[in-house]
Amino acid sequence: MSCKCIEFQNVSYMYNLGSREVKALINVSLKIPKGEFVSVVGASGSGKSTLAKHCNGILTPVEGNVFVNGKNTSQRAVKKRLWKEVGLVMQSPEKQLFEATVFDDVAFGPRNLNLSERETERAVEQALHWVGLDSKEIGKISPFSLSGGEKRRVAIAGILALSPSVLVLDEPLAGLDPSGRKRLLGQLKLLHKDQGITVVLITHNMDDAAAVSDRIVVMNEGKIQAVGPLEKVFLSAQELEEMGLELPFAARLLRCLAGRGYRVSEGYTLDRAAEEILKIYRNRGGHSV
Amino acid sequence: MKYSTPLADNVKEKPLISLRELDYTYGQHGGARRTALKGISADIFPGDFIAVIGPNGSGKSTLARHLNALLVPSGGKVWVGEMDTTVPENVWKIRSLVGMVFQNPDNQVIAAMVEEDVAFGPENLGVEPSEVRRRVFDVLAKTGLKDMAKRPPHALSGGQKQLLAFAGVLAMQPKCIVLDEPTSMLDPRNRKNIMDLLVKVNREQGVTIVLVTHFMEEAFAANRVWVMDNGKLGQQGSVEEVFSNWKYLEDIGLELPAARRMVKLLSDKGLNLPQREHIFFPEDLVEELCHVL
Repeated sequence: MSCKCIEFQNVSYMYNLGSREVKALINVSLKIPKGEFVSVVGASGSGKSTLAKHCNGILTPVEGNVFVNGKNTSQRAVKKRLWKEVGLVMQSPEKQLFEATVFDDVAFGPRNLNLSERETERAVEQALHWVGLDSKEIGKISPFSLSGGEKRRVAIAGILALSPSVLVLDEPLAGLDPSGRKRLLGQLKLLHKDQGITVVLITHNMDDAAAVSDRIVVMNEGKIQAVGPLEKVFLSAQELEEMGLELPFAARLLRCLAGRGYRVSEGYTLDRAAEEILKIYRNRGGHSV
Repeated sequence: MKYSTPLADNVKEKPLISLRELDYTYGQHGGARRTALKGISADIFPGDFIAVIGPNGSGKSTLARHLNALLVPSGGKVWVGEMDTTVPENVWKIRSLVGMVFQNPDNQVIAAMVEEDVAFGPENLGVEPSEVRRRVFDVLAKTGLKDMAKRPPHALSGGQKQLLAFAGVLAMQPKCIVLDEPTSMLDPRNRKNIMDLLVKVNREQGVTIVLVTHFMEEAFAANRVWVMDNGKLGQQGSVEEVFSNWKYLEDIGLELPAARRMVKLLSDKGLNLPQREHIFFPEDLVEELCHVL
């Protein structure tokens, strides 16, 4: 078990609700190699957040095991150190902001790691830079005076300041405006590329998942329904709809056109779909640039 | 997903909510001062479905909170059913007319059990117990939470809690429902459920809806769209009017709906679609494409 990765081995988890048990994960097995960008998609209540919380030991399996960098998260000693390795950005992380200034909030983690004030300052500046914010500009103001999108990014910077090797984000784009979504998604992609961070993105937006991921994990009612690269995972549109999901817009458009008798290949991004449409247009003698 | 046509012209009626030269500044009682709203004047008529769009930090949530007196103006006035929101005696009445679904459901889900949470609102309004039961049953069925009636709210997922918050307000049967990004954590199916429900209560029961949203597609359900831009009401008009101004929307950091982006992408490459103002959904786009391909 020495591979640098997150590995779920036959993991089951139940929430205990008095007399009743609700199964949130059922026999989940999954390997996430180091340096991968994985998206976990699924309907509300399909077990995505429960899966995320297993990645850094906040929850430990009722049955089965989770290994992070080869270490079993169920062991107390491992669990206590895990937060330095796996950064978990929870749903609406801006709710966890608490310090008087943006700088102090992002610095909370590094200070707890006993970094010197100089190192802390460097870590904070770097982390804010990664999410597109300038420490000099906003470091001294209260995080509560920022807009929703900025608060979100400050909260994510607070996790990044711990320099985790794995970043797990639970619906980080929910509630952001389109340009904010695009920016954060771009920053995650860059962080993944430049820093080699392993990223696990929890989302139910297929367009977002399609834009950034190496692989997609589809969850349905606590089980993993499918794992693989985009084109393998986007089963039939109907199957996805039954799970409460939706194909990316471009894929729906191309399938609609195919249904009308046009010969088009599959595609998952707008650019790809535009190419397909222009190809037909040119074949019909239309002029395009 | 297509929406039925909004209700007919209702402008002859008296407005349900009027905003006049509304200003709001945070930090008036100490702390950093920041102007969030500047000189907003607009009317909301009974039966309107208004979509409020705008980038993060443009003042959408602040505006929403003025509609049921959670915030009161620093300058100007907000009238709800001819009641001034700054008069404390009016607040109770105003809040029974205008219900609010917050961005973050944890802010408004309070009871120990899902069905109790839904019952809380109507009970507080003094609704008969038998009627409360009927409403709870009804809205839990409508929002798809029926099977979770006996669960504690904390055992629901983020998206399910959003549905619960909505169910609680729906059970109060207000004249107007203000929703601040009610679908941000929902999957496409539940998002569609909520949108269908909103359209239904609006078109069939005439409930006035004010929907703050980041999903441009959701704005298509509205009869009017307000664009918030840096604390001001930058634009207001019909869906067609507002979305035909591509340049402006992009300038303030909004993204066009996917179908419109596609139209633009194609036109940049020399394929111009004639009827583009009316393209909102993938089906519209396919129709148009079939004409030219």
